[in-house]
Amino acid sequence: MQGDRRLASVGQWLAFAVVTVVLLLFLVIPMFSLFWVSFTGEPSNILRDLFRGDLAGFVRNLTEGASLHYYREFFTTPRYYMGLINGLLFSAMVTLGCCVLGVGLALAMARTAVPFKGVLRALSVLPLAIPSYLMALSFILIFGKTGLITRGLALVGIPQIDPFTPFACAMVQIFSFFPLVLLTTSAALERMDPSLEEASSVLGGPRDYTFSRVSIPMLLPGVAAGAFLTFIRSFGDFATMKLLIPSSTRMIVVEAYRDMSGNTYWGGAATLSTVMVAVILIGLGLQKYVIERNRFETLTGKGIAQPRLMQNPAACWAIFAVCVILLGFPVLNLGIIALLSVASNWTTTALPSSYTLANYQRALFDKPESIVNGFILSGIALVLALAFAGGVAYMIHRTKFWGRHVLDFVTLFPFIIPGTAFAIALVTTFNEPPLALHLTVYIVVIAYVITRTPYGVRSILASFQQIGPAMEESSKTLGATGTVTLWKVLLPLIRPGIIAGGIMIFISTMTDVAITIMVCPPAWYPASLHVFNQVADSHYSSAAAYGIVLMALIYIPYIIMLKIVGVRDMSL
Amino acid sequence: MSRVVIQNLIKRYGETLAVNDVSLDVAEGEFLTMLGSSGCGKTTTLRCVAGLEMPDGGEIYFDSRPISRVPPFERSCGMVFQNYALFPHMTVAENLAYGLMAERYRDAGFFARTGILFGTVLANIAADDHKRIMEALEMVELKGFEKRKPGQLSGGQQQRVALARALITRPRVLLFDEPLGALDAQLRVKMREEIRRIQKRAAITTLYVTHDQEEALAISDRIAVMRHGVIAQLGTPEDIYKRPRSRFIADFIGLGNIFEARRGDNQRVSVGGSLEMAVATTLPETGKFNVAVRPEAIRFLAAGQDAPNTYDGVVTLRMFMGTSVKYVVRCDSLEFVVMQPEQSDSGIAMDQPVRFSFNPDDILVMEAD
Repeated sequence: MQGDRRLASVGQWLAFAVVTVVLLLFLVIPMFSLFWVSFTGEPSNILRDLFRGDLAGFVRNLTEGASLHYYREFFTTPRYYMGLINGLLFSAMVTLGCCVLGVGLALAMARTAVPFKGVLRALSVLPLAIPSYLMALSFILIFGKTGLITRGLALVGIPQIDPFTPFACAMVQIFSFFPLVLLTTSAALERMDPSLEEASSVLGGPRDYTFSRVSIPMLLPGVAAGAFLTFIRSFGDFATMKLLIPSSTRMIVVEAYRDMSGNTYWGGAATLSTVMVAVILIGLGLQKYVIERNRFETLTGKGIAQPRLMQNPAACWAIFAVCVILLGFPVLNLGIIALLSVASNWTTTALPSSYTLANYQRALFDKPESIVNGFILSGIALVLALAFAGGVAYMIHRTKFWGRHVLDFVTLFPFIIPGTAFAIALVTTFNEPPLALHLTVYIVVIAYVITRTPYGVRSILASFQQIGPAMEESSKTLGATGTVTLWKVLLPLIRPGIIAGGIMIFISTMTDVAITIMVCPPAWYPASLHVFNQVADSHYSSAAAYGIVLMALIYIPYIIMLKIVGVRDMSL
Repeated sequence: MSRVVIQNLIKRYGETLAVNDVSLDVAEGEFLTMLGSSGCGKTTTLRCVAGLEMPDGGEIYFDSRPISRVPPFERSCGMVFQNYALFPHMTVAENLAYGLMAERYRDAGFFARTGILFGTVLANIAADDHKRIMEALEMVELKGFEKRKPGQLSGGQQQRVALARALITRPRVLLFDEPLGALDAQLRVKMREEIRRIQKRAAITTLYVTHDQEEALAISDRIAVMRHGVIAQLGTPEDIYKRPRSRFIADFIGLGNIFEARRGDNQRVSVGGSLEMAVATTLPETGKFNVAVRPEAIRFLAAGQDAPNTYDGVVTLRMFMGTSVKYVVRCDSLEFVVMQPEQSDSGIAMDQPVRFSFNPDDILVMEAD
């Protein structure tokens, strides 16, 4: 027993050491390096100096040539500052659109007797499963010169809606990201006690008064959380912006990528990335402020009633029609992609004139490397990220060591900053020996692990919070050692969290473009990047086939797994 | 203060009839309780009065004005919800100001309305309102709590805020939906006394819903016992307690010692096959009915002593209850519950034979259901 406890404590310290070293090496130092390169304009190779123990060299490298030159440049070069302004305006617009769509749909689901609610609910989260660059592809197909809707509109004399505009890109993002607001708002609606609105009504408050005085303040924290998620996703969504926004309209993410690829301009890329990180942190602060200001303790009294649903049949069917149009649009997009992937000739007719499986033949048999690469990279990253996340979550929740709040924030950090900025930070750090990892397969996996660990940490933490410490304590009072408790009690109980986190990690790495395009060696290009490049090169049929295969390979195992383990694990 | 008349109220939820033809006439200033177990339609009736449910049939009048087409915010009701429904994002003072503000909002024009919506609640509290808030807080003994949020109050304090919030707009009708359900037993007794006192002082017409028969008996002017969406009996607490109309009501108010009986000769009934009892009240003509004897009405006799309705049995359980002692006595196939005041307890041990009797006047006769 004594020995076991000592072993456990050694194990804890070892885990703590591993977590600290990994986070320092691959997160803290790169972010610091990024920040510093924005002043010096040259990678200062912090690692080499630290490895040599050359503190003097370290300090010299940091101070030499440091100036505000690149920030001055940022505020005087239109390409840069317009990139920031455009990026902010663009993402603000997308966030607003997602809030309108998400809150509206959440209210329709929660407060009206709209028919086929189950189907609508399932459809409403579908966009989260479609990578936004695939949505961009279908936008090009639908609104392009010979696109379906373009031709339809031409029949009634409306000119083409150009898919290669910021407006079209915003539409793609709105339809991709609105479920984030929908989910957080729905959760807030579920938590909200319907008798509050009734109380307002009996106290003499008309409907508009009740809505603005009671409903909105109660929903605001949920909407703010969803809005922030939408904003960071939109702001860092390199792929759709690169595909749909013409280079004459500057976008900060795309400009940062341009400075890094081709003729590497370290100072510009680092400055742009630092500015993006600053924007996200300000956004985080704003969101925290809104939530903090509207903070209240939810009162859990007895007998929380079901809210009264709006029953008027005509209105319900009208709402249903609107829902079908809004939620059906992503489905239409997916259908168009599927159709294109089997079309051999589809230019002037409403439906393809002939069909072929040649595109799938290529994707699955002739050139399956990118698919295989994707599986290898994501698979390795999945295992490492889950193990890492499990350790971090355990440390945050079950130990009392002093740094756990710092750990909590640090592991969340890579989730909120744009992937492009994080990739640039890695490149500035691992460009030269002793750890010349840039354009190796290692850096891809490391980047995946660090940026996706937050998914795992969040969902495993949620599991921990659900089970509470009593289970472990009862196992220990029954005479089980720490190791037995870990394997027989703790791991089985947090399995739902591990599975949920794992699914999110796998899906998001399989579809990643922003980081992969910066750090991945060409020999290892995964399917996501392949699809992106095919769309960028206007090879739409091939892109469609790879895209469908990619989605099938991600979601078929996911659905099977849900069917097998889902029911039992959800019941916990 | 209004008289509330409920006339032939009907409310359906899908196939089920939640309220089936309920009629009630609540006088000005009266305290009427709807008593029943869950699903009996009492809360639905209350919510129809508040305007939170739309009746499928019948009409509700405040004084002589029909109100089923009037939205809840124009009915001038005060309501205390089961979970209090205090606004968690507002302070106690803001919660109390809410109804006053809403009144001002309804009377305001477009621009004033916008001003009220976009201003903070506290900035809009007029001096007059402030005085009323202070008075209301004083009434429920919560002075000094006005800046707290509901989450910082105890259950009992939240209950008082809910009461003050319902009263501050000087409503015509006060509605309570199981307001004491979430409190512990001691606090429940204290709060019901307070509610009764405040209601009497304000002389406000009150409809009160509960499933607790003791609470209903203690607090009401009249009680409507409800079952399956209809009123099973309507009367004063004394009426209900002393003359329950049916076995269900006798059971519900916890009468004890209820037996199926059959009519015999000469004002006698036979109970449980072998026991015969002399009854003072007139018996119904038809065959089956129920009789009940209150546990306090039964007394123990010394051996050899005789009286009408005397029986011999064996004590199977003795429990000390504080102010009284409870005995369970087996006699033939029947079990009688006997309550003796603690001072005059005869101290009979378990398994001892005992002789007991009760007066013919103490036997209640009621319908079987």
